[in-house]
Amino acid sequence: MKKIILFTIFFILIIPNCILASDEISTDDIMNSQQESLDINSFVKEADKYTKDVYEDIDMGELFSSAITGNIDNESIIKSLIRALRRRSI
Amino acid sequence: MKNLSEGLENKGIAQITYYVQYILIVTLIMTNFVQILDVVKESIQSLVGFMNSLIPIMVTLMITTGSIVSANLIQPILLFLITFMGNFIIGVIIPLVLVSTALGVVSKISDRIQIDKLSKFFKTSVVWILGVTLTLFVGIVSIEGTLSSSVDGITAKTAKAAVSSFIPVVGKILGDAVDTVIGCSSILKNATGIVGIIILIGIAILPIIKLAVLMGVYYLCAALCQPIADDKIIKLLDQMGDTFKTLLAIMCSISVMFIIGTTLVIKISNSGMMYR
Repeated sequence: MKKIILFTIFFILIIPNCILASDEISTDDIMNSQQESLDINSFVKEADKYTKDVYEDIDMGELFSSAITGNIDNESIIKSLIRALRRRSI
Repeated sequence: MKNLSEGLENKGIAQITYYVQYILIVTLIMTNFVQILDVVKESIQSLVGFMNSLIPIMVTLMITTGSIVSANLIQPILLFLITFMGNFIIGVIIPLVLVSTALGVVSKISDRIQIDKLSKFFKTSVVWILGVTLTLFVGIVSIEGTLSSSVDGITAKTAKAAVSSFIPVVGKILGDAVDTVIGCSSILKNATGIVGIIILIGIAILPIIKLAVLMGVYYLCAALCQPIADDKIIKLLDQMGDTFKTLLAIMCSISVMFIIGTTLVIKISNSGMMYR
């Protein structure tokens, strides 16, 4: 009886910590697995085709990664837009 | 050129010379117009094609964030409206602009045949149709989204509360883990939406700038030529400026419509998340 109680207490204390620890580690893993399962990378590749003329210097994969972290480089987007306009007007 | 044709003694020959000059100018303008029309059509097809690949991914990501009701309501409406709008603009609106321009050009050839009003009627119809469709699109998508996002938010909150309290020992942790997964999906969805909007801007910006520049050039030409050129030529240049303005309105409205649609998809599931 004592053993059962001890095992129960052990599980109650250990399992939540294990789950919490794995949860903290795997936020990036969750996102990567979701990206793979939803095939977002192929969407990004597809998106590259549409904007080859305008965003020549911008890699859509990098843009997507920076969008995930919330650090989109607005300046480079605006610069490439201006460059495309200049190229067309000349 | 006007002086040249007026300088001819024979009135019939003078008139024919004038017509030849007019047709030459019209041919030059129409070549430019047809090229721009092709550019507009291609851009609209690209916008629709891209939206057709963006929306399914966004909706799948919406489902992974728990916005099941919103996704089920929005996907058919959004996909239908986007495809319908693309086909409607290419199949109805642009031909209407073409007819209106042709009528405008023809009515300026002779003083006897006047079909200016019909041309104006088509142009006004185009603007009205665009305005109404833009309002309907934004209205339908936002109302559907507002209603369904509340349902999704409350359903998810109830489910999380049930999991946390009814499952013993690991219930709370399970609820937190679900929240983490949903949060990750939400980040992915927002990132996809933002990239989508940037690409939409990239597709639409060049034709929009091109049309804006052409519109300005035609109006400027009309203004500069007024003291020296024939009145009909001035009116023709003015008419072409108006046509490019209508095409610019079409491009702007369809790109704004798609950008608003994407933003609403992002916002709808985000507001569902607020309930947690």
